[in-house]
Amino acid sequence: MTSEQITIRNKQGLHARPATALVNTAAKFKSEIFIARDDKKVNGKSILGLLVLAAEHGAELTVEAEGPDEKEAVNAIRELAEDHFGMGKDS
Amino acid sequence: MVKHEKAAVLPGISASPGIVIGKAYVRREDSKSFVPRTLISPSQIHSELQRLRRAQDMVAEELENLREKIIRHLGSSYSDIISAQLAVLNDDEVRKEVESYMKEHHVNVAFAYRFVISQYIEFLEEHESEYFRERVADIRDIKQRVLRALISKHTVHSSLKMDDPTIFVARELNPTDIVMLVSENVVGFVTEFGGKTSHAAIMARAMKVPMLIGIKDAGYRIETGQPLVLDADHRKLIVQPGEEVLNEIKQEIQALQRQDRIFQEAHEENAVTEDGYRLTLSGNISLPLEVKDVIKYGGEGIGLYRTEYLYLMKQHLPGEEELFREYRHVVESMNGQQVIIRTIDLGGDKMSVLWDQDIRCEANPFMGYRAIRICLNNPPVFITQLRAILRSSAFGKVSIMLPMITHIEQLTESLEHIEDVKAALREEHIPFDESIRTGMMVETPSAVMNIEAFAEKVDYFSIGTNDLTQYTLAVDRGNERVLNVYDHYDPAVLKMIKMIVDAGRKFRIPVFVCGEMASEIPALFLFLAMKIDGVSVSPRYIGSVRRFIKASRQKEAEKHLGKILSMRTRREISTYLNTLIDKSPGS
Repeated sequence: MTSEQITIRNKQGLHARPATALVNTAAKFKSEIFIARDDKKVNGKSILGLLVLAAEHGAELTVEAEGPDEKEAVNAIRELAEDHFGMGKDS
Repeated sequence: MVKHEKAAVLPGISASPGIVIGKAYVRREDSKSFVPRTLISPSQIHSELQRLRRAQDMVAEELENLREKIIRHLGSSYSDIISAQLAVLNDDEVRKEVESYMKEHHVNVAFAYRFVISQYIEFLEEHESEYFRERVADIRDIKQRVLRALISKHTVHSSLKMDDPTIFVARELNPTDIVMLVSENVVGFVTEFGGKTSHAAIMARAMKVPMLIGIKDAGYRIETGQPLVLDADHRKLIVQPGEEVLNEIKQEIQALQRQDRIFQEAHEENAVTEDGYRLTLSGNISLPLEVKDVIKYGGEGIGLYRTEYLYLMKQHLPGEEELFREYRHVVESMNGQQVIIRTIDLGGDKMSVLWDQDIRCEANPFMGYRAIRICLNNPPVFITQLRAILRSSAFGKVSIMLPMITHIEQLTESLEHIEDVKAALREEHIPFDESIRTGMMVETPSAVMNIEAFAEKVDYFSIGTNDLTQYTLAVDRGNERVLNVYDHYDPAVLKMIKMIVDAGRKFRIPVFVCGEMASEIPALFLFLAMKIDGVSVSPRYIGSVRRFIKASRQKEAEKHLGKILSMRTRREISTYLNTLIDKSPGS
């Protein structure tokens, strides 16, 4: 299993649009992907799960992946988070 | 049909003008109570899940369809709401949870689906951030669509195979409903709730489909299939109209259509009075799709491009590229004619989900955090929009307009931002029109009382008569109880307008009017008398304004100005203007 911490940089938090971007990225990988916050852990390929995390600006999340492409999956998600989920630096 | 049954006339509020005849389609929102709970055997789980899969495919197709329509009517930047909805629809976890719920409770798939998704909805509804809560509506929409597909094997879309022109009746509508339904056979909308300034109303007006709102219990008083006359122009809905009424309405519609053709045929004519006074007659728009109407009626450019819509519709702050694409499209479509782009006038009655809940629940929103006040407080938001506007100026003739200026420091600060953005663009070698003009809306009494100070600094004034009247008379134009206080023919308002025109003349800058008042004939008479430089009206009024101007004489109107401005009461003024107009050939 590979895991890594990410921080939500989007001002409005991980709302529908960035969550959609995360789900779409996660779906490209065969590995099982989980996103955890405190004691809550959800399927990284589920937008509703991600919304339930209610991750606001600055929230720290743990990305876990298990499977043949787990390293690539975690890297891709970290990069996506660093890139404000593709929504531009001001978002 | 019962021909002699007495027609019911239901009063409503006009959210989009026009008169149409059609058959009712009533959308009932209580479908959740219809989800049956049946026990199934374990061997049926597989086929039930396949049913869910098929239902989801149907809904996915429907959403793709909707996405196409949104892109066609509004452009691609509005379609990302659909991507989020598709992600909800195809949520893996939901499928898994539905399966385990069915295995545990031996219930049918529709019941299990409703249970699972409702749990998410309930959870998100309690979320402290309104920003998240707003999205719950999208998830609820998916739930409704899937359940409808599962239970009735129809999608919203396929259940609306409407052969006759249809008037769609619902509790509430969202903008995507409007876009989707208009591309079907829907010719009018009736809702129980919603405001004139709701996103759905803006969309209905942009698409030129009549809409009545505030019709109490419409869903219970109207049956699907019943004939209706939706007369937004007279603010009423006639249910089950008799022959006679129908014939009258048909004639009225035909007369309106004839008139409309005549107005369109005149699209190349200038707005010049009989004695040769010419003013610029342009159109107001809120959405790019309205540009074609401005062109159709021959508007000389766009006198007011309201830019709030993109901010209201999106789930995020639009970026520079998105804004630029949108503005460029409008500017290029106008083919060198002037496009006055107003920077965002959010707040007041229009507030985006992008701002905190605290701001959205102000006690006094029209006097609160809005328009230029928001922009100057959020420089990145302002600068992003200014960059997009300036970049679009390389593709035609663009002017910038600043709303809600109350004191000179706001103007100075805004102009500094504009200069900074220009400098940055030069540095980056991004083209823009170096001769771009910047003007301001004059819509607050403080701006009027200090008007000469502003005139020194801007290239033009545009009078926003709605807000100017509201602030001058200290009256909320949305509050029915004080509606009689609101009157733009009040002597105080007219004196304000005169002061603005005089300052414009003294400092040699043009003065335009872009409020609703400019489409009223008595007001036009006054504006001609004052020698206003231009008016900008909703595209549908361009024709009637042009007709009046062409039949008027500026010098004749001017003769009455002194007398009108010396009158003490609004009643005196209105009566006097109406008598003059009755005599004039232009009315």
